[in-house]
Amino acid sequence: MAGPLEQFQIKSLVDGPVDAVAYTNSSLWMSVTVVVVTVFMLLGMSKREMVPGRWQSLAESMYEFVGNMIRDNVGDEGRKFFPFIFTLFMFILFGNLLGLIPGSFTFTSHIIVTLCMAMFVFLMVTLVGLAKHGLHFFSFFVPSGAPVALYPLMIPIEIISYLSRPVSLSVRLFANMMAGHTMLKVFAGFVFGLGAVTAGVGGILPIAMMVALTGFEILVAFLQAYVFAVLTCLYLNDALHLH
Amino acid sequence: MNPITKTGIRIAAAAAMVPALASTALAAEGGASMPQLDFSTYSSQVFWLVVTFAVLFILMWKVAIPRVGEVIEAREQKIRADLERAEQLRTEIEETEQAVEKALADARSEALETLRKAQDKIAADHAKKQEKLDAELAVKISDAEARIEEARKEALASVRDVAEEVAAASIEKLTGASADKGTVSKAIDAVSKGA
Repeated sequence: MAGPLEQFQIKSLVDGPVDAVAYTNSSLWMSVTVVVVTVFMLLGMSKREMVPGRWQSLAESMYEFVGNMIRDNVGDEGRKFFPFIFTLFMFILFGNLLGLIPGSFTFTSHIIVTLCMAMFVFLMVTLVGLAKHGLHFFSFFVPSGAPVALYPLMIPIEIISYLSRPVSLSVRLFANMMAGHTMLKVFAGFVFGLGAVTAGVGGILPIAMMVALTGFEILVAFLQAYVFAVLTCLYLNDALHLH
Repeated sequence: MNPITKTGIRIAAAAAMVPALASTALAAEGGASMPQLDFSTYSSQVFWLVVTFAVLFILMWKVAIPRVGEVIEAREQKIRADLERAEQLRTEIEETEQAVEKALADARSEALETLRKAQDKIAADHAKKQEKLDAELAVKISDAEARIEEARKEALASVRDVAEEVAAASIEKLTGASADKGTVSKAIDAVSKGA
């Protein structure tokens, strides 16, 4: 019986020219995500119907969901970032959802993947802020309305909280995905463990629990993709509008 | 976005992390090493993340998003055009309604006018005829009056003759002598004057 963490093992599928870029199960599911998202969007929109069918409605609602998220959180200036945030949201959402297929691999359960995305968002947002406001951007770290005497205390806190953004952003996604999948695996272990000693009867409860957990994990998959995208929007909003 | 929702999202995000972290910590304590901390896999993961994400980004940016945007834009345009057309038709209907009402009102007032004219004409004709009739009647009345006067005079004249004759005849009968005509007529004249 495999341990609960074995599902996160990276296995090389095709050896690359160098081991450093080996094509692994993680790479495979990233590719599958790209294909599925592209097929979902392009085949859904292939008929370009005036009155959309179910599939087209779904594709359009994804588009409008992200569009509304950007409009509500960033405003009109955020329109430029629509393709990026849309890609980010779809990539994470479908990565999470595809990872729930038994036997598949959840690439968002690896800290390095989520950290890369979070760092990219962090650097992009910081550069956008610097490009828009120049050195005035650093006034972001000066708390507005606080007494000057508290500045030596407040400014380092603000800077630390700013720098910890990519960490919280990446750990939140990675930890949620890892925890959910670990929990599913633990309950799956109970099914065999309890089932073996009670002639199968004891396995019913853990299986019911797994069904419930799987539903919950679908919610988490969506929620975490949403949180990642919405926080990206909020950071972008901070960078564009400072305080 | 208002600060309350912002804080709400932050709290929700933070709350979402708590069980996850606890469970992760438990899993780590279990003794099994986390594959997530195997640094040797990092370069491959980062490389393929960058490649796949870039491919997806370009596909979404250049193909999928414009396509969805076009369809939504086309639909919005269609809806806008339909609404405009509906609005146009509505004003047209209103205009037609007004025209119809105006025509009706015109017709009604015209009819009233015609009616009044006809009534006036009838009244005028009537008055004219009445006048003519009155005049004719007046002529006839005066003619009749003249005739009556004449008849009366004639009658009076004949009454005198009859009286003379009666008087003469009665004198003759009573006296047996023939009456002198001149005396009788004088007497009658006196009597009729006294009458």
